[in-house]
Amino acid sequence: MIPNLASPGWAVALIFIPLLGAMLAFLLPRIGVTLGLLAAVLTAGSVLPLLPMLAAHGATNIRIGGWGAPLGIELSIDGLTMAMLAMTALVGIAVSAYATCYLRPVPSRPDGQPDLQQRHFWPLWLVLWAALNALFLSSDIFNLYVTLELLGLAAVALTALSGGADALNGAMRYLLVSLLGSLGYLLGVALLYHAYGTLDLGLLALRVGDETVTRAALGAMTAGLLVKTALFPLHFWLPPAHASASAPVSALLSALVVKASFYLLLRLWLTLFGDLDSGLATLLGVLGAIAILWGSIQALRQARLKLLIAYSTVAQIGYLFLAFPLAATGGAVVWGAAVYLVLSHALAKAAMFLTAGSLLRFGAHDRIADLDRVVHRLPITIGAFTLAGVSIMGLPPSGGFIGKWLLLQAAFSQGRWGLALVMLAGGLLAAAYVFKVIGYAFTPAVVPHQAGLVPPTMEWTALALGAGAILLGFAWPLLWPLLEIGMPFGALAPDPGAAVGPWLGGPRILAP
Amino acid sequence: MNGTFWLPMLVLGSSLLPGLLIFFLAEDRSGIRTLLNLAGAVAKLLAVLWMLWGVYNGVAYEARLPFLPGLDLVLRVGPLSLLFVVLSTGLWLLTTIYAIGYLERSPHRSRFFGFFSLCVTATVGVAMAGNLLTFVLFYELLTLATYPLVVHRGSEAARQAGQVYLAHTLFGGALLLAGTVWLYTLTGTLEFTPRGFVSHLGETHRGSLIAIFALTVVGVGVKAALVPLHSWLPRAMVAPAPVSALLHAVAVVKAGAFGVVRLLYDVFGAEFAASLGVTGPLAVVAGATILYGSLRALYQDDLKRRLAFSTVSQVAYITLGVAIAGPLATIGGLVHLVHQGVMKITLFFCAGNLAETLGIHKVSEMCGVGRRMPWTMAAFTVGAFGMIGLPPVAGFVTKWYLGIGALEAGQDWAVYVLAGSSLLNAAYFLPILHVAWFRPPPPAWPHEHDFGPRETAWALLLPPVVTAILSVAVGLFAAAPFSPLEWATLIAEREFYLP
Amino acid sequence: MPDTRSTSVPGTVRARALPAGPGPTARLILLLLLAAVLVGLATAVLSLPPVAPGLGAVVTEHLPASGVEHPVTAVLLNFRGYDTLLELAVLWLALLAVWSLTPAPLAHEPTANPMLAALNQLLAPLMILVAGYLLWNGGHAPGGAFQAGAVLGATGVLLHLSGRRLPRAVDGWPLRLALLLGVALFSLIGLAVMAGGAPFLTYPPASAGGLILAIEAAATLSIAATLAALFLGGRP
Repeated sequence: MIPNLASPGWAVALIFIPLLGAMLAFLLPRIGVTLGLLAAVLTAGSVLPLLPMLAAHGATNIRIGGWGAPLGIELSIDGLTMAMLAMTALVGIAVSAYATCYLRPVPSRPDGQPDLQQRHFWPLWLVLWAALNALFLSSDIFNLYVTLELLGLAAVALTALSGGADALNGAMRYLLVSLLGSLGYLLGVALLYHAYGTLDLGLLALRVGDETVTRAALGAMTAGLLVKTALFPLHFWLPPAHASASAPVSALLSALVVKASFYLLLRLWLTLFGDLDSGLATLLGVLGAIAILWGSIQALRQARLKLLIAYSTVAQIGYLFLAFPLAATGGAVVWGAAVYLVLSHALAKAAMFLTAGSLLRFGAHDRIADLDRVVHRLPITIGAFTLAGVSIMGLPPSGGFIGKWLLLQAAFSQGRWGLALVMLAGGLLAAAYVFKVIGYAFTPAVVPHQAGLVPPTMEWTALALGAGAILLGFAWPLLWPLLEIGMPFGALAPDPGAAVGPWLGGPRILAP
Repeated sequence: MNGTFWLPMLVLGSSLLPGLLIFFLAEDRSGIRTLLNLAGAVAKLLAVLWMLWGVYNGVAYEARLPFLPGLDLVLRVGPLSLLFVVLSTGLWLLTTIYAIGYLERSPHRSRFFGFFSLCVTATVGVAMAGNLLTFVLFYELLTLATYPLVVHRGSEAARQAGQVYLAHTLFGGALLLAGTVWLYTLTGTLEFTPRGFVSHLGETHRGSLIAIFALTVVGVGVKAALVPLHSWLPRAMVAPAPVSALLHAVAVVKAGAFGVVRLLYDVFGAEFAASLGVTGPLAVVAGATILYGSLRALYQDDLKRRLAFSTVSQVAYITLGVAIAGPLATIGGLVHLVHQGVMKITLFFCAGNLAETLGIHKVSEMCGVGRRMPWTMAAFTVGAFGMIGLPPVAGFVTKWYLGIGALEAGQDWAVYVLAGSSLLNAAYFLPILHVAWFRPPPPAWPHEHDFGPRETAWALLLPPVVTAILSVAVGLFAAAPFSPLEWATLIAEREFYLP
Repeated sequence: MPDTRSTSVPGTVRARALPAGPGPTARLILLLLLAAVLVGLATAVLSLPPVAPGLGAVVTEHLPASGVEHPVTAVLLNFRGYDTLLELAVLWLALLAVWSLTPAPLAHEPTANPMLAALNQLLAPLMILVAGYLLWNGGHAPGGAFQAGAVLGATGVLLHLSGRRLPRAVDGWPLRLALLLGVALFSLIGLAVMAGGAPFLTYPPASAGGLILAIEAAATLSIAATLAALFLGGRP
């Protein structure tokens, strides 16, 4: 076993390896790509030692500066945090590998300088990664605000990176929305600090009561984070931003960045606001349901692949919010289902945007109806898209299916027929838009176009992510005990882990 | 983890693994591809025969993996599973041989055979599923694996047929999923159990159970091509002939019909379903499908479309048999699962031979083809006689049991449906035979390939001849041990007579 | 929802460079929503306890162990130094974002205004002195890296306006190093203390004051460089 003192250090490494990597890539742009890739590998690798630590010691807090709450800031790791870190690492490493190929200008520059997109991508992306990890690890609501700012700014800059009027417009809108969301959150932080005198989540959880100020903070913070998470009707900024960014960036935005604000909302809800009977849960559920239908229908209407995928994100985010009304009686498993949907959507959506990038590179356009027999010419890419699509549709076996099944089960047992119907309809609509693309992949285009070269790395990284989304479909018995470390979702529901024992073949190595 | 665990896994893996490998084979590696295909098919057949012997001697095969809270993925092999597994495994071997011959010169064979293997993997998964969750999983997988085969040709018509196919099957899948989840929230289990596992809820949840029955049966009814959910099947005829054979006889339609059997016997239980009052309407729908399919078949000049409507009609026999819910009718329905498969695949193989060898796609182009391709047309004739129900071909056995089963259950109307459908079958098959055997051939065939001295390639000829012989054999030796009829009787006994 | 409608049509993003304002109904709804938010906030603020519990007492209690004498500096550089570190990263990131967009506009060379030049010759040394004073002062009185950096950055802007340019030799990696010196040194010191087994950013009590001053000095330089570079509006 890794020594006790050394192991929490890996959590700090998760923040500072990418941050230092970003600085080095900025300082030495000539070898920026190599440095960036190295930092990406090291960052992703740093997640691994945390697993045995978590399994051995359970949820762990790290007192930065040695002060401890309430004076100082604490980081904390539990099963939920771990899942988010691992998700970020998986998507991060795949997108990093993809980006080295995608952002490379076709003839390399004679002076040995990487081109401008590549040059700025690495520092920005590594800061984004650091911000994501910092956000997942933090348990201090003001520090969370700082990470949110870091994250938002890096995301906006990455969006604008692809250049062009669309990207700049999308990024500008994204910037304003992101700032607005942060301000809403900050307002809530101020209210909570003033009323309860601490910024630490754990201490706040002990102190908050059902008071006007708590409700006001709940409202402000939820509204702010909803804007950032792009829940209908606050999603308007997402499609232009995600569709106009370059493909690896779109993948990061859709797979990870919106998940970070969702994670924060979930964390606040679980620790601070869960017991308030505010009717907000129902409202979130209804908005989620509308998001599913609206987003899916919009996706179906798109003629361009990247817009289709972006609207699909709007729809898939809706599913996450169905957990809020269902968890009131459904308990921990419903939250587990939502987290499962977060994970599988991250892998699947990243895979989809990466395939969109490959198709764009191949045909120099992303008009769906003009795809030209790509199933023959880029079979691995289309395979990746299909695997990801299976998870997005929620067909078995896939991570998306597990999440949807558990939510459906909760909806049926609570007699919420409307939600069940929306989930099923959403799955069918998703199938319609996914197979719209796949269908055109088989047919020749009316006007044949030239075929660009797609490096194998681009094809295979997307396939790996898509396959990951499928494999998640078999991983529930392994992942659920991991998620439950530290009880982030509250007390166990009656029978969630009954099937675990025989699967692990003996003692539960991941027991809290 | 012993033989009872690994044998079902082997049956799945023997097509899954070759399928996945084939995807990554270069297009011109046809030797190794053929080897993988045939080795997988033969290995699967051997494993299945081993299990057949085991089940006959009372061994219970079960493989179980935890999957969801409280729910496992279960493969369990009993008599009913084996009926379907043996059918699909045997026919898969033949279809593989046929497809190798059929697609000899066409592009994208690696993709084709990859999905072909996945398709049969899903089918045996459907057959061996030990609970409704596992069934749903493989049922959806089957939908996904067949889609690329339907659109294989990559034409606009193929793409649209694919969309129609998916629109139907995924809609059905969603209903099935809804019914399954709902059922689970009521019962807390989904394990298939002889005579069902829901009857204890009959008092309190009658309405819910009827709704669940409707949802799930419509869900599987889409693939079983019950009217009015059948229209994807004729559209899907744009696919290459081996795919049609697969859709109609081995995999998709059969999975739907098998689903009806599973739901009626192992989820609801025949008696309990009858007491819910849901079997009557189902039988009526099946009867209507039988007549409607036959009527539509009469008016098709396109040979494959005529056969497709014939499938719509014939598969509904299975549903009719189990929905009548008497022991004898059940035997008739179950045995037709096999009989229809063997006979219909013969017909599709022959239709494919005509198209591939002579370019014939329409009934009106078939004048005198019996002289040019005697073996093919002889096989076709056997299949057609079977469909009509002439003894000694297998179809006769089915109709006999269905008829007396209906009388036994007091459902006399079904006998009229059977009689009417037999007449209609004769009306749309006999003209084909007449044209083929007794009209003079045209001076030139629409698009003739030269295969040397034989009438066509051996890989194309062997499978229909074998299945034609099988069609007669299972009819002639219906009373022999291990015959489909004996096996169906075993299953029916378990459902109706055993304590 | 006017936005969702317009975004659903591809290719119109460009045309919406100047979006039409919301209609009268939408305006009314927005106004009502804003009013509701205002009332809600007012209610919440009025419900707050008049005396906030706060952390003032805890900070005072631990001040002697922090290495500095001024509570604000203690919080910013020690108790919640991690926040400050990330804020320095935000600042650097802002510059990175601007640089990734565009090169600096080729500002037309200002005609060397003799008045401005003369004033600068007087002001620049003075401002640098002030910055140094503010930095040093932060240890025990209001002041510190941010104030000092702001003054120093303004010096840079003034020098730029009077026509002075960075020498070629330093506008490459030396400039980039200056930009991230603060956050880099802060991070490295924070990580270095972990070698002794302490948690991140735990200064040894004896050297806390010195380390904080070093970090503040580096941060001052970076803040100044960043602010001045942001003024240029692009990559030099």
